[in-house]
Amino acid sequence: MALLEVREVTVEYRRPRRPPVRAVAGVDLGVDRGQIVGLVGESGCGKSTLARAIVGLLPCASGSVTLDGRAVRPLGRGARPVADRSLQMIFQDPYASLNPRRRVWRQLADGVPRDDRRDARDRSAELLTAVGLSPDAGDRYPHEFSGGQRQRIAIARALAAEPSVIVADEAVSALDASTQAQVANLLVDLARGRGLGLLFISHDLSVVRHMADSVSVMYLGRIVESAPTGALWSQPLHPYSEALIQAVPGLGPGAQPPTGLPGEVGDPARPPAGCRFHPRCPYSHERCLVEDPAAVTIVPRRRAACWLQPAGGPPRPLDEVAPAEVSS
Amino acid sequence: MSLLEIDGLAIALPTRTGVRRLVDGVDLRVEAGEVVGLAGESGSGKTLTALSVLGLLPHGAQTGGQIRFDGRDVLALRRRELRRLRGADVAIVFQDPTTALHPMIDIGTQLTEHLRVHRGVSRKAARARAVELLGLVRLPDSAQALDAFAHHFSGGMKQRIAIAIALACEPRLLIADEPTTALDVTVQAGILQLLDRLRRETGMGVVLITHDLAVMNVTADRLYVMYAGRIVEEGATRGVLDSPRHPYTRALLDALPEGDRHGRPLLPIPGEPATPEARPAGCPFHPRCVHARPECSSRVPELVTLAGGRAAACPVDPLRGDGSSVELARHRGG
Repeated sequence: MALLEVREVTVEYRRPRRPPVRAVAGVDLGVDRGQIVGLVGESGCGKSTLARAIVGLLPCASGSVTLDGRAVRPLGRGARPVADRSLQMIFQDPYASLNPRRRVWRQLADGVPRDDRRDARDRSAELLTAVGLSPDAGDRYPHEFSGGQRQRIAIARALAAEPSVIVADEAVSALDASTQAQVANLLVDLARGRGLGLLFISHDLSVVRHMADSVSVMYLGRIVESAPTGALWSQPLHPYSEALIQAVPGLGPGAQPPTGLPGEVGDPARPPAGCRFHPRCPYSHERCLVEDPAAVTIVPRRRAACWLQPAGGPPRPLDEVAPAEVSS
Repeated sequence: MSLLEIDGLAIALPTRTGVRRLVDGVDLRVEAGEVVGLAGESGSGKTLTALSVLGLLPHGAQTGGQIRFDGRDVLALRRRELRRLRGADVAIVFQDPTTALHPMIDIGTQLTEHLRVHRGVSRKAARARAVELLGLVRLPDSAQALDAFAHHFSGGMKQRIAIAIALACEPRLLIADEPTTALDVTVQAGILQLLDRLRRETGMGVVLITHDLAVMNVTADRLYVMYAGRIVEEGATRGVLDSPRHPYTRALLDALPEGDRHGRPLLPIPGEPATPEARPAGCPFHPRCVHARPECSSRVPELVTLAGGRAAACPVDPLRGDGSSVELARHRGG
């Protein structure tokens, strides 16, 4: 069993006088010690909602999140149970996630377990060093730092609680290329060096491809494919993964303007019948219009939710499937 | 004569702590039908350079040099003349389509406003043109969209609407400031194709501002790389990205995650970008440059023309011959 285990989680947003919107509709995920799991998908697919539900910022409508075998409880008004503190989150915007009116070391000290408190100042200096900032940075205020440095402080704040898993939601997306590289390297080093599990959520496929050991692709509240990173890029099994990968412009010579994906991400309040991706899928056939494919294991460590991919394999390379092939 | 000619543009902003030179001696050309890329990190002055073409600089900004659009000196235009230029001849698309559209005015009114102002088109004709424009940017159900409001649309659709508004008067120059940065890759692909089609079909010149060099690679004909308010390298996009001649361009490329480097650490540029308050003496990039020599800290390098329409502002020119990143990588790793 994985260190962080997400089982059939659904998250709903209630609406007055209307049925709730199911933003996350049954998701399975696992993150192991020292492992970096990428989660990609277009905006509106539910990846941030899922992240918040995993750390307990949103209640799950059903399903379970367990950390090291214990259920993670939703965040209430009281103090967080000590066990759940080893699950931490980093947000996209370090300007918003730090208090502008408190010195950095005090904010870091908030996260330090209570029995350590007497040495909070020393501990915060250690944490700042661990994220590559100078130990005396703790005496300053957040506005005195650049965006990349602030994101390092946010990471130090997450580390203060001695987490075993960090959920990073678009943690490098707002940064310039060079700063992005620094923060991405830091996250990888932390995962490898400290054996931290990292759930790395991003819409930037290049960064995910570079960092993650395995990747889950999310579409309209569901994971449509999960696979080891290299395998996913060399041979995506779900048409949506293929479309996402093809949409990334290349840096090499002869790179052409990428092809887009027709249509818009569906409305989670009214998901399409059958396979949720079928209105935009170049390979959809009759069965896709009526029957929703479940995620099945195709080959070990590879799962996909597509009628083209039979459970137990063999995987069908998508470039051998004729578009709009009608089989039944 | 080029469509847009910028010569020695300087932009300075007085602040309480002194005058900040934000853009310093920028020369730039855009031909009709050409997509020109402006790349660099945040704070490099790329957006200010573009905004100056529309006379949209912050209050109190001091300018030097010349901007000639179609032969007219933009910096000398009166307010009324500037207003005539904006929207009609030069249009702009911003990064965030949510703030670019008015939340309480329907899309049809926003689309037809400058047609009616600049071209004096009748309400009915403007509406027909608006439907046509939304079709041009491939917005589904364009007739119904006219009566809808911004919040009805997704981010990608809003950006397409913002582009349709910019295109309403058939501008001869479109400034696109990070037009796809806030969008998903799938939507980005559609917008990039749209820009490419439009400049082919209408001969519109495009200034594309983005920090994303992969987007530049597939879209821009020519590329200008800016650092600390200056242009440090220019040339045909392919050439610049294949064999950069300025260490900053090389370093920017090396910092990007590319597929085949999986598992290896990325190569960030050492140090922090030069801020306008603390511009280093000499070459502004020298404190972060792995090839810096003592003379780099005393003399500001000129942009020197090289063969093949290229130019770079680095007298050391360490990348001449082969621009191999391997050596640089070893440099920075060790």
